[in-house]
Amino acid sequence: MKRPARFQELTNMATIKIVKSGKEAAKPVNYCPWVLDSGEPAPTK
Amino acid sequence: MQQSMFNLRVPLPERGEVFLMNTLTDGQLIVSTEIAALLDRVGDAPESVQPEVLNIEEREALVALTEHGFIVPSRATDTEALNKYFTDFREDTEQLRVTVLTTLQCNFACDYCFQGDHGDYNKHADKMSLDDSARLATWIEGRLDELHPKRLTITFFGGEPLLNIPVIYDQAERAKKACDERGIQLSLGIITNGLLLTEELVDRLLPYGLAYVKVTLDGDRDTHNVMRPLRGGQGTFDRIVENIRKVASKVRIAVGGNFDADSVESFPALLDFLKEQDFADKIVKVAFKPVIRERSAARKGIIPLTVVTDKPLAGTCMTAAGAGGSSICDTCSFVDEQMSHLREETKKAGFTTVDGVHMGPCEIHKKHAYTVGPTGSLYACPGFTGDKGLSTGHIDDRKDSWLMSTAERFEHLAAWHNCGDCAFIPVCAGGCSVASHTELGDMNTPTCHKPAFESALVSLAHEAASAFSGAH
Repeated sequence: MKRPARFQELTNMATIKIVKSGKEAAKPVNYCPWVLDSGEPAPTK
Repeated sequence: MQQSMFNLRVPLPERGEVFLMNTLTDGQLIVSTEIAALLDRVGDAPESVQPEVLNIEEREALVALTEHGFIVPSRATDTEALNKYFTDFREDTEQLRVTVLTTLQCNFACDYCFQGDHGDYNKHADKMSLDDSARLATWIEGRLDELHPKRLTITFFGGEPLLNIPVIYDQAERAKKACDERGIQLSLGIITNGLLLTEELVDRLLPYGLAYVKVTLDGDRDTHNVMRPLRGGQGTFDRIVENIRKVASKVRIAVGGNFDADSVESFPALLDFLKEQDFADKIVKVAFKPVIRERSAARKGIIPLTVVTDKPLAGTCMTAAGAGGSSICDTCSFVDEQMSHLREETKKAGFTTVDGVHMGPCEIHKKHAYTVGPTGSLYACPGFTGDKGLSTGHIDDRKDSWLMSTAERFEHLAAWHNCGDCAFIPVCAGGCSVASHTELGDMNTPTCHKPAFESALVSLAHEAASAFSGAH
């Protein structure tokens, strides 16, 4: 079965599975999730 | 070297593994219990993680953990990185965000609305004129020329924004022209009650960059009709759903909903209803939050968050995961539990929703994000609209000292400075400042719903583990 795209193999250690890389800068929410909770994409599914 | 203060972990005992997350880098790993123990030793027994006493696998693991942000040289490094994170977020010029309140008037009569004055439901409230719309467009152009952003995002909000469609069209046309002339991408969004949503509106706005329409449904049909009636008391559910159906193939639809103690049980039925609709696959996000009940003594336009009745949710925080004083709100656990429950139900129904962990920093911490009221007053976020004392400026760029002083207050918002070593700071930023201001009287005091974050983290971990298993 094909892996979901967000799962990346960035290490050769079988004991570490990378769900999301911490090597790139994090992308904060960047909108108002409280009062508006707009229709902009949810940060992660 | 030591563990980052932003590390979080969720044991996955059934798998013999541990989910690790670093909230500053957003690194998320699933590791063996041995590697989790190795990470513990970094802090507890540093002599046991010296290179000469480790095997190759352990050394590689430490390198990987360091690369993803789980191991840092010192606490000072963490603090410095956090400050940079917030500064970068604040000063970012990639995007100019403008939330335009086309009017504070509304055609609904929701008793819980934080913006309404419940006598006339804002029937005579401010409405943006086309002259002010033109002035706003000029002001936006000025900001574009100052910042040179890659994107301009305009969100139409209210009141009910569709009660002033001419201003929406005017803004869209002017913004499109301004962006085209400057090579800037334009994105439009509308947050509406859905009653006046039409194909004509969507068709007209799509060429200008309409990216989504968010519509609110407060529970199943009967519940919604009680929660969100017209002024005459008539229900609105059927018409809203039909309107969504007509436009869903053309534009991304997001569904929001506000629940209270009486209505919360009807939301699973709403989800069942939505997933049976022919437009279910067009819904890009579904998210529910608690209603905001207004205290009788509260000022118009302010969101009161303090419990005022004996009902569990009445009067409580609208932020669900970010508001509520850590000690004064004894209903928060109820809110947190319901939020978590509805989030899980939403996922089970097959809809995308917020994960409950990535909840900040919100745009109030962003320098180039503005909310513009119907008469041109600027606010740091939509939650403060209506209280002109909290206005941070005006589109005519007037330099009144009180406006500049308020703007400076918002520029220095940093409630997280009072959050100690909390690992959730990068994704919470001290909670909702509107809640802090209203409930605690100080927007620089954090409002904490840590249990909600922790609960969401567990869900995130199990979802990641489950998806990872399914991928093999």
